[in-house]
Amino acid sequence: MAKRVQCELCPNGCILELGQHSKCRARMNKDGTLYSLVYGKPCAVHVDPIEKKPFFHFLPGTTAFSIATAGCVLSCKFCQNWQISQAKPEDTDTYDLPPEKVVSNAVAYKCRSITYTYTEPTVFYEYMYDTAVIARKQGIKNTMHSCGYINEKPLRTLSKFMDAADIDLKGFTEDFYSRICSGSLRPVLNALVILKEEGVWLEITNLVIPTLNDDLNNVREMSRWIAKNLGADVPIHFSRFFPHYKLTNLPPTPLETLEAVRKTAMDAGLKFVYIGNIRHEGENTFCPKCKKVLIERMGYFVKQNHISNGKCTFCSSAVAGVWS
Amino acid sequence: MIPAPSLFPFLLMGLTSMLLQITVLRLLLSTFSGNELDIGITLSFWLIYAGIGSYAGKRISFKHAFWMSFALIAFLSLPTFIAIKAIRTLLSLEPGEAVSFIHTISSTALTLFPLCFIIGVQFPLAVSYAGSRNAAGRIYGLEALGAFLGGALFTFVIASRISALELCLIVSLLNLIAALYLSRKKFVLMLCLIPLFFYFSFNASAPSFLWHGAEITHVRESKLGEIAVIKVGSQSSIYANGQLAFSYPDAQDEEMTTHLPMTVHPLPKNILVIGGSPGILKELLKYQVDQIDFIELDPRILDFSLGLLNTREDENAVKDPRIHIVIQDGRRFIKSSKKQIYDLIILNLPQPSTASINRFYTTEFFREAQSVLRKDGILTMHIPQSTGYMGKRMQTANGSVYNSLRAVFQYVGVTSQEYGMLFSSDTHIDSNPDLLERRFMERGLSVRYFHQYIFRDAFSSFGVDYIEQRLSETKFINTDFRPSAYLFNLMLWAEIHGGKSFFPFLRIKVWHIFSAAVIVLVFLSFLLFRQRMRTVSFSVFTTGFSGMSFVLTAILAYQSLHGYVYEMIGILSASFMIGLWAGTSATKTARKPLKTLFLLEVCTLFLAALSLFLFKSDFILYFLVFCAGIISGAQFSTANLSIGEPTDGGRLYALDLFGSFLGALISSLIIIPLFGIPSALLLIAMIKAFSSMMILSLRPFYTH
Repeated sequence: MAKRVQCELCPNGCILELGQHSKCRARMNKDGTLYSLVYGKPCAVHVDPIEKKPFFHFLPGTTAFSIATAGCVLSCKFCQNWQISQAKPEDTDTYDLPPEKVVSNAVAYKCRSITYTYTEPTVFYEYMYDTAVIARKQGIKNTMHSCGYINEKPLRTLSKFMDAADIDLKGFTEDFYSRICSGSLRPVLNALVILKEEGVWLEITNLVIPTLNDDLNNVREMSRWIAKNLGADVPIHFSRFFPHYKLTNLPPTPLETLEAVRKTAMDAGLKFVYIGNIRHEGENTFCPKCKKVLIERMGYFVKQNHISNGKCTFCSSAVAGVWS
Repeated sequence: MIPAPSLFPFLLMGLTSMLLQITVLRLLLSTFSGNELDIGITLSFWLIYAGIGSYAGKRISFKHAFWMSFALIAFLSLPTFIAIKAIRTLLSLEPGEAVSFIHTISSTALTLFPLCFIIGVQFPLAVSYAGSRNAAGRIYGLEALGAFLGGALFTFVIASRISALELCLIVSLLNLIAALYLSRKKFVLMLCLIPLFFYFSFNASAPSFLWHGAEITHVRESKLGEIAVIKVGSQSSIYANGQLAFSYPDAQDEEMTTHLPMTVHPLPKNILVIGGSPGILKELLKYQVDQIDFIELDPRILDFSLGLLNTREDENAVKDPRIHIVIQDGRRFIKSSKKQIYDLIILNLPQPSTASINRFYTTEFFREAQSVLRKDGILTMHIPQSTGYMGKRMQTANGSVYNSLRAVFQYVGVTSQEYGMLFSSDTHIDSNPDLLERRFMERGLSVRYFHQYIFRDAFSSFGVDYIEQRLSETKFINTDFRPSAYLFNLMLWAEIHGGKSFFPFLRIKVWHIFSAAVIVLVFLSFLLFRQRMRTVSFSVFTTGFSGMSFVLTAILAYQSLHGYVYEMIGILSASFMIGLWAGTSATKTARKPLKTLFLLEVCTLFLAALSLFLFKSDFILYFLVFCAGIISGAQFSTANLSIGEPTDGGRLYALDLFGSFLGALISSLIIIPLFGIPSALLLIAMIKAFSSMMILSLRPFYTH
């Protein structure tokens, strides 16, 4: 009697026959049991400044030990990590790094946090969870960069050990998500709300792609939704698009588009709106009250930091974030 | 005898076929972002459909068919043009998205069918119209002449002057004139309205469906193909054959391309910039330079880019006496330069995803660059960036460039993944981030996007080590005759769309192919030994195969050597066609056909072997293609004579056609990308050697 298995990790909800692989390629049905094909086998391992993830309000100036396995729940046409996210785990060159080793390496490299990133951490959920538990015990923080395409139950469980999350809100229409990402918007919005409820520090990233998601009306809608449902304190990063993967011939985002998007978001009430992938005053953190520069950044490098005890050193108002 | 005035329709047939073929190729190249592998696909399908058309045409005996075929061609040209333009929209592709392998083949196959079929049908209709006994031979000759005229016209007059749409219209109207002339019916004049209708309606609606959200500001023909400028906000982007060349203004990119290499070199005074946006010039002038040479191959691209400049800084930079702007092919310029004067050469071209760009990333080019660089000069270029992980395709493509540099220069330095820059020199390059940071700050330049912290990110030891390790894992070297660009495109298809089915394919090695070929040939020898009919059939099949393989090899070699085969493709194809006709007529009455056939096979062998050395020379390439045509035509003719078949129609014709189809497809999609041009020539030589041996086995040829 053939034993089918349904994976309940993400909204794809793959129903797998014997021997079949999931849509994210990282799980399979072996003899009636769901197995992970990527546990302990990352293909990307690097030490990066945490500003790269991008986290601007979480332990600034520290480094993050970053890992990723192959596979992803979506198939975004502009993915810059497509070589691993859209690959099969069997086709990538991997390291052998069980959870304890991830943490010991992070300690050895003097990283304050571990980041589950590059591809989609949801696909290596068990690996991430086990590593996070060990890291928490050793005082290492856990952060992730995800597309937010994960079901409620696993997300809440994970949130107990996750200290910060950067979620890609790629667009604000169902059409964009289905046409360009082969996914859907609603689950991402749900995940954002859940993370906020669970007290995980949240930052949002949006890649601004010319002609596809640069419509200012949508940006305004999105900013209003964030202000209303997550809070005006949630930092949002608007990044410049460069041609990649299937969209190799689309031009890069013009700077004026990024500035217009930033202004729209700030006008809609968001307090911390950043521009990424290009040097701009939008890389700096400004005090929402007195407007002075609190953190000056150049690329991933922090030049000055005027926040102490979570407060602006000029006017003493509290600045949202996890500063130590 | 065909009276002189009515030579016109037959000449027109050849002219039309050639001009439409080139136009269609140009459009398809642009639709598929300049991917030259589609040249093989297009030519193969053109052949097969024309062949099927010929076969069907013999069965038509209705009186008005001949003049109506001209009218049909007139009706089909513009719709075919429109269909090709619509491919991207119909496949729901985002602007800028690459087309998958399956879709490339299927859309080429579907759009070409109606037009090519009718063109094929015309030949037998022409023969029955002419009525006289040796009509086929004469008409074939006239067609070849018309094709040659079309090819010459295209290369010397039309390319870069008349747009594809206008050319289709002109060809349609000419064909309607022929229809009018042949039918002597006045109403045919009215039919001119149909192509005119398509022309005007396309002109009116085109921009809207091609690039939604962006504005198309200019489109022009050039020797490279189609150059287009689109505008998003106030940023314009220049595209050559559907491939993004650069955007302007893009200060971030201009600064990165300038200040990173200019800081790595301790004292750059003489600089050569190849390609890219002229926005880089104002950045370079911020340094104490003596001279900057800026080379751009395509005069159209230069025109457009200079016309885009919209700041005082950029406009002044271009007029600065230290700047020399040269319109010439970068490689030709360097070859004619001969003096070691440059401190820094900045290769500012897009990634080598087409052979025409790939020629600037080969060992031959690097040697040429080295010869004009000072001993401590640096050659710099960028390769596609990645983050986190470098996959197999990028590894192969980037690794082959890296290896090619290492084969030429003493020292090759890399940056971390997100910067994707390579620096090569014969003197050690010090890329210590602190040193570079200090040097940059000391120069006190005013920049908006570049900053000193970039050096520690670009040259972090962790990042640099990772890249060096990944790039060294591949052993490929990129050469003119074995361009990795073609392989790169195959792998791109495999990785993005084809998935598992492609990869085993890509692991085939040269010796696999040759061993497999040997095994197949040994097996065949049992079937063919001393079997006249079979041997001759096989010979004809391989003639078609090697003839088209040779043409494709010549075209792809030309592209990877010179970069603008599009302009020359008319002359190249036409040389082959004239050769075909010359070969066929010269051997019409050969008295010892089998012996002649044997000798011709041996000639092909020599031709393939010689080409290995002679392809590099411009002029001789055309002559070689012409010879290939003669030999192919003569082989076909003598083969038919030796078994007593008429040449038009019949089994041998079908075999020749099928062989041509396979030859075009296999050499352009498999042999050349995977194994390079020398291997393709060797394969042709091997097959022909075998075929000639089999013919030898038929001795004695005649009982005297």
